[in-house]
Parts: sequence; structure tokens; C-alpha cells
Amino acid sequence: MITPVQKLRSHSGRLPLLMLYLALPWLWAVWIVPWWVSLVALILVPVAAAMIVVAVFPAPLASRRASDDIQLSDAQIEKMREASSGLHNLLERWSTLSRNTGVNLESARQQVDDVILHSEAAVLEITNSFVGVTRKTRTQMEYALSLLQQAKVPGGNAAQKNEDLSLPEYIRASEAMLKSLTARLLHFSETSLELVQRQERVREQTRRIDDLLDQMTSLAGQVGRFALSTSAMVQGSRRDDFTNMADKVRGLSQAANDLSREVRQSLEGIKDEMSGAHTALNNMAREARTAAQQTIAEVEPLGKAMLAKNKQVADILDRINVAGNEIQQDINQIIIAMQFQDIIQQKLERLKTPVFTQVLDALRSLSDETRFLNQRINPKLLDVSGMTKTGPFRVARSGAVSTASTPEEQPTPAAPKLPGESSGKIELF
Amino acid sequence: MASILIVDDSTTMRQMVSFTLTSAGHKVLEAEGGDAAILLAKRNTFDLIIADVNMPGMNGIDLVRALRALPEYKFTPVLVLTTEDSVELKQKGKSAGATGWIVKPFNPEVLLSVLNKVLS
Repeated sequence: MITPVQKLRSHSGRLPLLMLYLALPWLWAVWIVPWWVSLVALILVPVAAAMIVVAVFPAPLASRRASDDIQLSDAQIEKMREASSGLHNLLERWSTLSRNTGVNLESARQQVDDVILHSEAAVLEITNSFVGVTRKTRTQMEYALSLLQQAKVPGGNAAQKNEDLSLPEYIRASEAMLKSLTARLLHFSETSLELVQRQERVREQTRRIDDLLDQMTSLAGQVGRFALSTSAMVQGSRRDDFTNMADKVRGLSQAANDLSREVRQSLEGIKDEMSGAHTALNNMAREARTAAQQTIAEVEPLGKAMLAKNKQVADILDRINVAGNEIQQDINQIIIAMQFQDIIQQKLERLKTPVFTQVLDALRSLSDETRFLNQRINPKLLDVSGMTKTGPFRVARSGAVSTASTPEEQPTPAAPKLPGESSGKIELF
Repeated sequence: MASILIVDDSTTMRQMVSFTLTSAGHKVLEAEGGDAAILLAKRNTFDLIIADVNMPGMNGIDLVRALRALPEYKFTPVLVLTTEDSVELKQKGKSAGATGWIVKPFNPEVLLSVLNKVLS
């Protein structure tokens, strides 16, 4: 307990100033009040100041400590010292943990930033590649459709018309031309058949002439034999023989006439057939020439158009091929970008285990130790079951620290490398 | 056309590698870990094996070692496809019997060219 005298002594430095403050209200009235009133008031000023110091002013710190020291027992002081030591230890650990956690979290923040950047870049790459693939696929489709949907230019010449035909129209034009050509060939075939029939008839007439010639040969033989018979008759000079001979000669003459007529008729037939064949051949040759000219007139522009169409198809196929290669490149980019998911996952795994787990473990241990110290200070809360065994260091009932596995001793996380730093490297052993 | 086994715990990676290889006409089987890969390797015959390093359970280096212990895979090419690029790990892979080391992310064209080189 602090006595008024101790309090006055401790605040003695402030007393003159306090008395001056209290005297100031009386100084201005010295000239208007009786002198004894001023004297009494100034005498009461030190008393009022002393009363204020004793009643209002707080006791000095040193005095309060001294007073507390008096109230604490030795056991309490020892306990407080242990608690203070534990608290100091705890604060040091908190400080170390905060520092290490700060470093780890800074590293984690950088890694997370890195992951976010790479994720964003990968998503952007995938999006762009998909857009590219879609655009190029549409271009390919347009190229292919341009072959099928090319409009015909009205009023152009045949070649121009053919060049401007779409592929289906071109195929239909080719088909029509082939049909026309086939019809002409069929006509030629029919005419040729007629010529063959005429030749067959000529061959028949020729065979007929052959027969007639055989008969004429036979007739000549008979004439020879008549000549021999005539010479015999001349030697015998018989009348009947001459009459018979004359009849036979007449018969032979008639037969010769008949044969000559038939030969003439056959020759006439051959002449007619040959004339007809000549006319038919002439007609066919004329028609063939006309058909050939017509075919040339149709085929030539179609051929030119075919060359142009082939070139156009080749160009479009080249473009489609180029677009296909570009699509393949885009797909490759998508594949590369999508691999960052795996890389990011591994980066996060590297963060999760060494950084966050260690920080969480250290925080859990410090929390346990804080609770333990709190219970040491307030024994009513003491519950040591399973509390001091979980931390990286253990605090005995006496407050002594038996194990000190500080966060600094734990391995720091390996800094994950950036995915782009050495990606795609290949090494064959 | 070759028969290839892909070993990776990441489904995305397996799909990416599988897509690349099947597009090139290869026959592909997948395993999500070293143990599953060993089982598949015993039941099938593969011309080539592509394995990741960081996998739960048996890691890629141990897988290479286990494969080399099998008589039928003593000389089969085994490529390691990983994000790891440390010299020590590469040396471990080489010692275990890996044929090559490819760092992710891989370029499909490059992977196929390496594949053809190794298979030839």
C-alpha cells in the first residue's frame, strides 16, 4: 500500500507547477479584495495541491512494482519466470515460423502466379488453335464446295463455258458428249453392216459367175468332142450324122447364149452392188468426216476445259493439303498446350507437400505449444493428454523444452522449374 | 505399325500421347502406374514403352528397372517422358536402362520422329 507521503514524494516535481495553476485564479483579484482574503487563499493553495496529488494522481510505476513484489510468493514468481521463458521461446518460434512462412508463401505466390500465367497461356493457345482449326476446316470445305458449286458464265464461248462449269456440270457435259459420240459410232456401225451385206451379195454373184464359168468350161469340152466327131463324120460321109451334129451344135449355141446372159446378169448385179457400196461408202465417209469435225469441235474445248479443270482441282487440292497441314500444326499446338495441365498439376503437387503441409504442421505445433503455455499460466485449463506429443518440439510439465525441431530445419521446397524452360528436350542414351 | 505401352498417371497426358501415336497408325495400350504397366507387359508384347517418372506407387525409373529384369523386355526400347530435367534423374534413368529421355511438353511431330528412330 502506498502512503500519502510516498505519493507526495513521488510527485514532488509536479507540486510547484500544480500550485502555480491553483494560485493563478487568485492573483488577478489581489487588487480588489482585502489583503487578508488573498493571503488565506494563497496559504490554502499548497494544501489543495497536496490533496489533489494524494487523491487524484496515480501511484508511480516503480511504486506499483514494489507493491506487486510484495504480494507475489516465490513459487508464483518461479512459475511466472517459466511461463515467461516459454513465452519467449514461443515468440521466437512464431517469429521464425512467420519469417519462413513468409518466404514459402512468397515462393508459393510466385509459383501460383506462374501457374496462372501458364494456365492462361495454355487456354489461350488452345482457344486460338481451335479457332484456327475451325477456320481452316471451313476454308477446306469452301475449297471443296467451289469445285461442286462453280457457276457457269452466261454468254461465254464453248471453252470458256466448259472452263466455268462446276465439277458435276462438267461430268454431265462429258457424259452428253460421250453419248453423242456413241450414237455416231452406232450409225457408222449400221452403215458398215449394210456394206457387209452388199459385199455378201457381191460374193454370191461371184460364186454364181464361178458356176457359170464351170458350165462354160464344160461347154468348151463338149465343143472339142464335137470337133472330133465332125472329123470322123467327114471320113464316113453319113447324112444322119450331120443332122445330129447340127442339132447338137444348135443346143450348144443355145447353152452358150444362156450362160452368157446369166454371166451378164451376174456382172450387172455385181456392178449394182459395187455402185451401191460405193455410194454407201461415200456417204459414210462424208458422215464420218462431218462427225469427226463435230467431235473435234466438241472434244477440243472439253479437253482444254478438262486440263483447266484438272489444274483447278490440283490447285484446290494443294490448298486443301496446305490447310490440312496447318490444321495438323494447330492440333499439335493444342496437344502441347494441353500437356500443361499435367505440368501445372505437378507444380501444384510440389507446392502442396513441401510448402503448405510444412507450414500447416508448424502452425499446428505452435498452436499446441501456445495452448500448453496458456494452460501453464492458467492451471485450471490444464489438459496435457495428447497435446504435447504432436508438435515438432515437446514442452514438459515443468515448462522445459525437450525437443526443438524448428521450421528452419525442415527441408525447404524445391523451386519448381518453369514448363517452358526445358520443355521438349530429347536425349537418347 | 508398332505396339506401344504408355505409362502415365495423368489421364490427359495418356490421351495426348495415345492420340498422337494412334494417329500415326500405332497400336496403343495405356497404364496409369508402374504396377499396372508390369502386369500389361507380362500379358502382352510391346515394341516400345513410354513412361512418366513421377507416378504414385512405382515411379518411372523403378519401372524401367523392373522391365529390364523381364527377359522379354531386356532390349525393348523404353522412353521416359517427364517434366523432370535434372541431370541426376537422367543419369538414374540411363543407369536403369532407359533408351531415351523426353521432357514435357512434347511436340507430336518430334515424338513420332524419335519413335521411328528408336523403332528402326
